[in-house]
Amino acid sequence: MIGMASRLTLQVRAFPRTWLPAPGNLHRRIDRRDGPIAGKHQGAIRQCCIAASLTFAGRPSNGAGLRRFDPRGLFVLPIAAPEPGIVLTEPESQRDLDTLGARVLAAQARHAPTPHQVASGALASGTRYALEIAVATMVGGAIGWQLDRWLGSRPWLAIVFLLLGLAAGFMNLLRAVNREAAALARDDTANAGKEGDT
Amino acid sequence: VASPLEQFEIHRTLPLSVAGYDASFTNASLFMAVALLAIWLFMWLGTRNAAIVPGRWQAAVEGLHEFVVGMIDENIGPNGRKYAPFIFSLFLFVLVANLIGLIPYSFTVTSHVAVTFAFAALIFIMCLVIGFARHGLHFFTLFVPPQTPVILLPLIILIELISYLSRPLTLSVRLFANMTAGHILLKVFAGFIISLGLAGGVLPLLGILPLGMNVALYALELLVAVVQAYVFALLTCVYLNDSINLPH
Repeated sequence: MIGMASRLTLQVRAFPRTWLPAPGNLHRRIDRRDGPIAGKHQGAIRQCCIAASLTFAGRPSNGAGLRRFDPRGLFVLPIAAPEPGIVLTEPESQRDLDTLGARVLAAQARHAPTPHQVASGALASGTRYALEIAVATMVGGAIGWQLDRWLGSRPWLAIVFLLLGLAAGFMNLLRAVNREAAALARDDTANAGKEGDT
Repeated sequence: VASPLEQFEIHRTLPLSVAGYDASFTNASLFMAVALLAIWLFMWLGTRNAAIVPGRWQAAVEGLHEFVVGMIDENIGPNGRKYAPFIFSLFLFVLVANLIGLIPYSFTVTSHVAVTFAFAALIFIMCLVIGFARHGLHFFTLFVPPQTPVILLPLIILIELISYLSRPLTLSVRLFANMTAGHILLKVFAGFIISLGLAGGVLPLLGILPLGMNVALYALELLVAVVQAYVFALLTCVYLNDSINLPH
């Protein structure tokens, strides 16, 4: 319990006191991605909201349950409707936000996968598709064998379905490669966009 | 020295026959019950004093839940939240069964293809039921990829069908093969330690080598136990996604 208490105070200290009573303000800042804070500090603000929901939403949760899925792949926080006209002007608050943003970025960098982790992940998915090729071939062969028994066309359907099963396994593999390539391309464009911002 | 396969043998502890079928309480049933008890204890400790600032157990339960729900959000989307309890239970059971199997003298439930295939068959049937309930006969478009030339259509549909039918088999074989292979390997190296220890001369000193190997293998098996539980739950999400969202 002592550890938990100290973590909580850390989170409260991490963002300025003036913010806390108006979570709607935070929400507005997230929504307006074109504002001066948006691009650079978005991660920081989202972190802030999660911490704020821990202490102020009055729910027995670490904030996980408050996050909602968003088609853009972001987690959006369902905090009350934005109050118009409140803008963050105090330089002290801005400074606090800057340090928090830097800390969040540093933490994210620490958690980025190492080359070794990426390679292990590739190996794991590789063995997965290898198994799928083997099993699809066997399932195809089994279907063909059973059809042969029913139709009395031994061994032709077994051979045909064995090959179809093999094709199914390789099609899965090809599809996975295409999906991976598309994801990489998406990441590349996202990174290019990010570099364009700064 | 016992055979490395002896650890997978099933013994009846409470013989029972229902309508001519063997429904005995076996060591496999016992360790499934132990896994359930461990999960129940973990969840009870984590939820009994729910607080805004979570305690250690609550943080563990919430972390695990957040992990599974994150996986569902990522792979299925907002419509998948309904199935979070099922996937969470599945993940937790497979994980705990895998981990309990690593304790000496215990039994690994997931090293039996009967158990893993029962899960996979349940998931497969569930995917079919959900798919037809949500999309009706439109669900069959799952077997027709977009922009397929009409000439290739019969061939492609057959291939897609085989690929879909092989899903429960890959799902079950992956978990079962990983657990069985790892446990056999552990037993084989343990057998080397004993044989070398009983041999005369300097051979007992060489027993250090398989011992070191076994320690390393144990670490690897711990990783495999967690990763395979994760992969099992992840693939369940991927398969459910096809039924819920009908990608094309």
